[in-house]
Amino acid sequence: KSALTFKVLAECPVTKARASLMTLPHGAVETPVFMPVGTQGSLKGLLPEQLEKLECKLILGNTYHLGNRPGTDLMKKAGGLHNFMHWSHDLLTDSGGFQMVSLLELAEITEEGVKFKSPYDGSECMLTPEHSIQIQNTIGADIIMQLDDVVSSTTTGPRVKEAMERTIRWLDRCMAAHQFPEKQNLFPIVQGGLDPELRKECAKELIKRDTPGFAIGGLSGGESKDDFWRMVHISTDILPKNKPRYLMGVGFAEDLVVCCALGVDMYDCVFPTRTARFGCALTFTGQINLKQQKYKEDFSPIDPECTCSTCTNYTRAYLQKIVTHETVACHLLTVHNVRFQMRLMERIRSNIKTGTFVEFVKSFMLGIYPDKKYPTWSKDALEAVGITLS
Amino acid sequence: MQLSFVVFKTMKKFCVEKTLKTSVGSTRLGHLELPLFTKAEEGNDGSSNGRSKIDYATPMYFLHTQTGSIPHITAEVLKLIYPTASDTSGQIPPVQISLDATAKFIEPLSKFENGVGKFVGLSEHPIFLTIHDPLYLLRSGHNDKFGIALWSRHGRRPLSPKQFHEAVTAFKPSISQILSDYDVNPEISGMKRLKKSLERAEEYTSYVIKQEETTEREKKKNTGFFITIEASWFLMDEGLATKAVLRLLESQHQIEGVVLAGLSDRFVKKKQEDEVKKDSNGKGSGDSERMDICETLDIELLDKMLQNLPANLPKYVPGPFKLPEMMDLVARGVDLFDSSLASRMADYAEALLLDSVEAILPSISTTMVAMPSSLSEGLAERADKAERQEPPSNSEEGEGAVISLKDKKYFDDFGPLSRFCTCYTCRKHTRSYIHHLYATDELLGPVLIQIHNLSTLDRFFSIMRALVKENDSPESLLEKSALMRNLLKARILIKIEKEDKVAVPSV
Ligand SMILES: [Zn+2]
Ligand SMILES: [Zn+2]
Repeated sequence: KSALTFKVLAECPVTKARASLMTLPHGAVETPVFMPVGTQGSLKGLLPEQLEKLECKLILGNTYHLGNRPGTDLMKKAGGLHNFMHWSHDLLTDSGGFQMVSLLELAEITEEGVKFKSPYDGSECMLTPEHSIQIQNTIGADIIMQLDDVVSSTTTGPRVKEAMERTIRWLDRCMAAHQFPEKQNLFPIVQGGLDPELRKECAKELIKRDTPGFAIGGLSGGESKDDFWRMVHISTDILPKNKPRYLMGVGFAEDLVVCCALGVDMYDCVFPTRTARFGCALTFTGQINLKQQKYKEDFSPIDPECTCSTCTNYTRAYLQKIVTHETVACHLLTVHNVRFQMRLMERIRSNIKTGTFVEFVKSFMLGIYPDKKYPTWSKDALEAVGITLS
Repeated sequence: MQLSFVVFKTMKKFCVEKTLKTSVGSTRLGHLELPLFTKAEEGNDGSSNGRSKIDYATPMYFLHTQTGSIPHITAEVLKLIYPTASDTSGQIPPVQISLDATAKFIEPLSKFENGVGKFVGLSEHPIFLTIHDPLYLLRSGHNDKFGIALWSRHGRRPLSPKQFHEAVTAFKPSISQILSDYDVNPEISGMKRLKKSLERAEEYTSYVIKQEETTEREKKKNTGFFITIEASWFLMDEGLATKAVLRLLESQHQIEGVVLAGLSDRFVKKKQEDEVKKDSNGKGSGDSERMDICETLDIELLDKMLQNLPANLPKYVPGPFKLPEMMDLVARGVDLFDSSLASRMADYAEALLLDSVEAILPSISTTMVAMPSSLSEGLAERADKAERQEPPSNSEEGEGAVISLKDKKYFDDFGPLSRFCTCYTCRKHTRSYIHHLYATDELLGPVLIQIHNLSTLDRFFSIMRALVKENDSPESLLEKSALMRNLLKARILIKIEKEDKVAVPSV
């Protein structure tokens, strides 16, 4: 029995967008949902209580980092990450593989797993699919990810096919190693690079297994936006309608709106929290950099319609004085940016439910491109699901 | 809020409720009434001057800020530390903002018109505008007849009495420290320099008071002024210093308090200055300009400074003094402090514990009994949990009043920072988690430590007030602080060994 129920509440009659209720062991989450990234067991200085107030009920932790520090022994003693960080809502962990390949220069992939040199003592280590699941079982997140063979999204040739096929083999090893299917949901990952045929083949092979949901991986890594949306489109066409679809590493507002139209339900990205550190605030008309002198005497909040504690208490003029210097500024912008992501997803969900999603997409796009100079990729992507931007 | 106890019917905002006077000093309890600036009421044509008033029991502390924000604590999180007045010591502290890092606010604030409190997101707190951040070291030089030098992360910025007046007009603080020529150092300065400094103190003070009188008639503002008394004056020539202070106090009807400055060693040492220069070529240098927690307090010097001050003025000693030193200051009648100690400890991952000094400060238990139900529930819940699963903390034995969460021994310590604390951090998070946050440089670490340390500082001050209320004599307070100091000693020794730091006065 799976530890996840997924109920589609409403479908957009035009696009592939849907609003659903996903119930996980630590509570129900409405989708489409954006998950902020709390890499090492905390979300950029925010207290769990602050996240709750922001209506954020599902966050992501990184297996690679948590496996290093504090490590699985302590995680076990603490009774899992929920307890350790005092978070009573849902968690998702990645497999650790992606972080390893992108952070460690010496990582080498073999059929056995990901071989790497420990950044701490230089010793040779191996992350196998079994090991990844074992760590994630100890961390205890509500959704865990299979170890996949990650290749750069711009890689071409036989390596892409090899990685796709190995990802399927590794999925079977992950499923066999998974100890707690009744309380943790293992998601497979659709790979296949930018090759439509490989993507299709991978998705079709994965859906033969009875997993509670699916992820689309290997994208958002430097490929062209034109390739990006087509791969998402192809994948969601094949993935079953009655299970959640998670697009990994995507979080820009425009991408979220377009990919919701393509039928994606879950997203994660470090961008909204990382950009806060550099003084960037997100708004429905694009991002603003509060370091700029033009905000020196701007006594309005970041967004007058935002009800976050930052917009309630602080002006742009004051933020301009403290961004990039005081940690408080980082907290304030993180709060606002997380709230922005949540508000965007709320708007997407409510418009799907009221049948006004198409109108919403059009007005949203006009908001960020008042001159109507829409990027070709988003025009094409939306066109493919029946929305014409004019 | 109304004054609950009025001794003298005066115009002053400060009144002394109780004094315990012996040969070592006079310890006292008082009330400081601080107006809170609110723009909405300002238009009420004369009758209201745009300020409601908040009554504070003293001794008390101001919340220390940097560039207008309490380090690591947003307005939202501050409400978790002081949820309502009745959940803590009964008062939500006012805020200290220093002009050195906020001088660049003058321009926007003169257009903002709502005062600095609203600007920095702390509109519910009265603001005390001081000149220097109690954690920022000063450099010698650039104090001249035109004004003084302000030092901050951005370097030097001059401040003339006129600019100071503009700042007060724009900031609209409840109270403000008057600027002072601080650049007198007994190691370097001659008598001529001392006399200059004393003359300027008078000039600055009378200029500010005169300006304020004129403006007050026009704008109905209501900022109270604290004069500044420099410790170095008394180190150099007690007689001249005393005379100067008496002259400063002549305009007493306009003066609402005294800042006793320079009791913490606050100049950048020559040696450090060189290091800073070296650093600026390569790595960042910020930290060497920040003051460390004050390990000593020159009590004799303090006594000299206090000697001629009238009893009806509140006295503020800025700086990151440790709890026993603060207790000594309370014993001698100092009324006002700041939370710079907590800010500094957050950098070091250090948590203040009152657990081990419980025997010394008996009223901790009294305070616990008087705890509001919402908090005691939290404590009961935790005690429950502790019984169920948590093994006794392996590291609590022999702990002093300060622990560093960077210490590896807290790696798997699932106890709260303090078993007796009911603050937000202690109710929800473990030492192990906080250790992990510091080990991984996560921003949440200092947030959790600040929450706990400010809560603990708050409890410490309510204990201080309770002790004086229960007629604890100055001697008895000094005895208690000595005991506390002994508990801390072990830690200090370790620290000195580690840093091997010798302060060499420069020439
Ligand atoms: Zn906001
Ligand atoms: Zn605490």
